[in-house]
Amino acid sequence: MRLRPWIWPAAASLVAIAAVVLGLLLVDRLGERAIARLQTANAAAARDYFVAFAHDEGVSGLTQALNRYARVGSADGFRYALEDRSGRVVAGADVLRSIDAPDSGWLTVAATASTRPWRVLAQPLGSGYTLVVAEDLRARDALRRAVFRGSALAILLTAFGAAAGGFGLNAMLLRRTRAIADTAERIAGGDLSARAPVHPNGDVFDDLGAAVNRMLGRIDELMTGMRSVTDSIAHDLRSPLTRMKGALVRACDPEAPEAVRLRALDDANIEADSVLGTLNALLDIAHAESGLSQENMQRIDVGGLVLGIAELFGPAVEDAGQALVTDAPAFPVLARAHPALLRQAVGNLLHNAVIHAGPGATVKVSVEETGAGRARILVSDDGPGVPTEHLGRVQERFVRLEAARTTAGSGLGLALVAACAKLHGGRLVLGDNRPGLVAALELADPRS
Amino acid sequence: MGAKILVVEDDGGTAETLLSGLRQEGYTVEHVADGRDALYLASSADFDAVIMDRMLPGMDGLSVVKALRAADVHTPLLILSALGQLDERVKGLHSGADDYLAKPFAFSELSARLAVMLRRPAIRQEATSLSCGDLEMDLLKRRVTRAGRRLDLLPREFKLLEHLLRHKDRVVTRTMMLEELWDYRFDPHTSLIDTHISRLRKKIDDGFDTPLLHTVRGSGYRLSERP
Repeated sequence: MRLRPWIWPAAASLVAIAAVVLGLLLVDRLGERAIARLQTANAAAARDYFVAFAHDEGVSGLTQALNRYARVGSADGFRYALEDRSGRVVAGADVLRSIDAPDSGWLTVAATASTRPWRVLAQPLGSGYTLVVAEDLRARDALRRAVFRGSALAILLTAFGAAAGGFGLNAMLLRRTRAIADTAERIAGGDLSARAPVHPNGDVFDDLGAAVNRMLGRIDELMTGMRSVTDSIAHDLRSPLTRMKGALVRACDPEAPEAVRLRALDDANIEADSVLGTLNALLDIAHAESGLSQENMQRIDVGGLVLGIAELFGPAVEDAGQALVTDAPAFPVLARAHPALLRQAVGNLLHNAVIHAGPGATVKVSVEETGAGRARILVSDDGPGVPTEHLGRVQERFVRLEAARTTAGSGLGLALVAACAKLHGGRLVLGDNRPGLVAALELADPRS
Repeated sequence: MGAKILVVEDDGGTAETLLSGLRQEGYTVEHVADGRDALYLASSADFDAVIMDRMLPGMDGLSVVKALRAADVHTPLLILSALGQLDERVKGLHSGADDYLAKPFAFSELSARLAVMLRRPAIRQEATSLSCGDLEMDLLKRRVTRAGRRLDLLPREFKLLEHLLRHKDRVVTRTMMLEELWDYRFDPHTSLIDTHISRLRKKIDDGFDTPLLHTVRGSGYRLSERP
């Protein structure tokens, strides 16, 4: 079941009200008990004091003291009196005359129309006299009410403050999440430039906004990339398809001699292969970039794999008038890799060297272990190299530099190597070999 | 020949090309267009080889292959599919297929692969020597002689020659050699094989009267005494 947003404040208010009521009840009960305990102790202390007084000063001294005390009066609600054998008040507070005090111990006297409620403690002093300590229960009630009012005020103030804070925080949360939701709405509505508001040195919502913005940036980048790739595909497939169509038109010409028509068919065949090659390379790159190829990854000896591909390219390098040097550790360099894709990536790097390094160049292939489960494959040459400003660009799809316009190629070779590196948790780094080009393919799969 | 081939293909045009091509080469061919029919036929009748499309009505090709292998039917099987990416190929071979060819394909390529599949058990891996005419290869001493004369081959040339000898008198295509010798599957680089072949040819045929290594136009290479 989905909870509506108003459910939360309603539930919170209910809980708060219940807590306040419970708190007040608790304060009342606890306050009453605390006051009762305190007053009982006070009464006992007064009794003990006057008993000691009588012992030291005699009954006449006590009589004087009690009378004086009654004259001066007290604000604490206690009254003291001395009764004789017949229960008559002989000294102290006159108000206690109407009370029928017990001989000894505690007694609570309820209020009547003319008297107050009292709590009485009687203590026989010997020779027929009884000390009476009486507490005015109305004074006790006043104290209890005062404590209750103070506590109630504090609790209500706290509850009000908490509620105000809660509502404020809630409003802030709603406002901040709404800002991010608004951004999402605008994106959904087609405004891809929308970004969540972010303040520098901000809080967790700014972190969230920044993460959302990074995601949007990546999506934007991918969409722009896809658009440019789509344009490039259209352009790059149109050229061979146009040439193929031309060749097929030549082959269909009934006037043309057989040899010409056969050559035209051959040409069409070659162009078809080029289109297929481009499509396959694009699919392989897309597969590698999407991470779908993960399922075919396994632990392999990268050194052996690279040496195998170097052996395959050996004669081609020699035919180009170049020399091939290989260097790999004598021990297996184990790493988690996608063998088929990695072979093709290394093949592409070697193919590039054969095509672009020129005769007389030395092509070097080496493998290094850069850590447990990590490896670096280096393919370098001492040919003309790639101008530094283009080193990043040539890794993109369909990018072909001016110097390479005349040679055959799809412009996808390095893009595949870069995608392969990414699949392996590493990257392709192109650098200046002074002279020539050095390509470093890093394998750093975190799962190795 | 007369080997019995089951073609499983739902695309009419492709099926027609396959059927007429295979019949022309002397095979007996049966054709079904549905995955379930293919599973039923291949597991009940006795075929020498199966050519199987992947995306089929009824039941997809990979499931058919898996079901056949699970039922202990080990008829040589080649998958022919428009899904040509590296990963799809690996998946196809993992399912139990013996070979995987991407569409579009050259019929000569299919025919060469089919021929190899059909005679696979003929030469056992345990053979210690191979020969073709006066060319002899000692697999234990890793030595090659022709007409008694010792030929000095690089390891990569030895590997290539051994492969050709194992498929003596058969056409071996460039992609087959790339795949089986170097595990490399990338059509634009198939011409690499030519660079290897030209070196091998120089060593085994130069200075001898009858050439053994023949180029088959449009397909690949063939090692044979017959021209």
